[in-house]
Amino acid sequence: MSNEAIVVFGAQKTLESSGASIANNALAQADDAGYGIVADGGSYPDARFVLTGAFAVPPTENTTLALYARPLNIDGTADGDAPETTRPTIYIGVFLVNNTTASQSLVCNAQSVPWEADYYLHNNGTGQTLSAGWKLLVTPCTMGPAA
Amino acid sequence: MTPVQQQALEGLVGRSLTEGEIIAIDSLLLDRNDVAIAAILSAGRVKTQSTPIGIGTCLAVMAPAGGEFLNALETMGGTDANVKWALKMIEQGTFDVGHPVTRAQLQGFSDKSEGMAPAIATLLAVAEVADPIQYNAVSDALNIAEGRLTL
Repeated sequence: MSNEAIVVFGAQKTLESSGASIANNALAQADDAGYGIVADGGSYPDARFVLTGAFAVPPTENTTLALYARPLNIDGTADGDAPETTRPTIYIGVFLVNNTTASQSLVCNAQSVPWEADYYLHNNGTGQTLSAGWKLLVTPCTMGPAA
Repeated sequence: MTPVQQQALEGLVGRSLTEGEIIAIDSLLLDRNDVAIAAILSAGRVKTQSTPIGIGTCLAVMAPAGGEFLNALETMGGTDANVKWALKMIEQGTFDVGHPVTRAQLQGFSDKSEGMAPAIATLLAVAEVADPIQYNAVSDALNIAEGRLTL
């Protein structure tokens, strides 16, 4: 076979390698790096985000850590407003948490991510604090023809 | 616990925190275990809701003093028009023990008749339901106090 649609992906980038703790209902930026689909993602429109983190006390089962984006350079060098807990600016998706204290690696697949953006994590009602040391990775991906 | 955190939690519950609560919450603030903090703040919190009752409920929850209570109301109803008509409502099963005026009158009756007080307290409790503090409310209050959140 050839030319059938397959998933292709690029190089993984670290947006946050060791984030500060995020209390329930609070929000924090993954501020090690932003992500641009041209500069970092080979112009692939989609991306897979992976969050690895832990809670000192088990969070409420099936609640979410939400991923928001702040688009950058959308009008010349003007950026969008930074997300707030009551306004995500651009909603990317959620990570559903398990009610455990063990380290969790959670995935969120997103389509058509902002061309260039900073990313924020919202502890959206887990009931517990996401411990310091959480990590957020992004891998560009898209559909392409097989060789 | 910082004064700002304490002020935020006291604003949430509408009263001062006890010394025991402050000690218990202190250790939970390190991890911001807002679920456990909410549970501590929720202990004993009740709210009243509209609860129409009749003779059956009086007899059941006030036992063995229910009959005596109704007899007392009947006697009082001979001279007090409010009690007379309240008794009618009990007979019809529409006497609302969640209504603030009703509760005030029952409490007044309880204060005057010590022997009946425990039974009346039980009757008043019929209209009381748990009123827990939601953990997200705790989180919002603390996050604002700590400068993590603006609503």
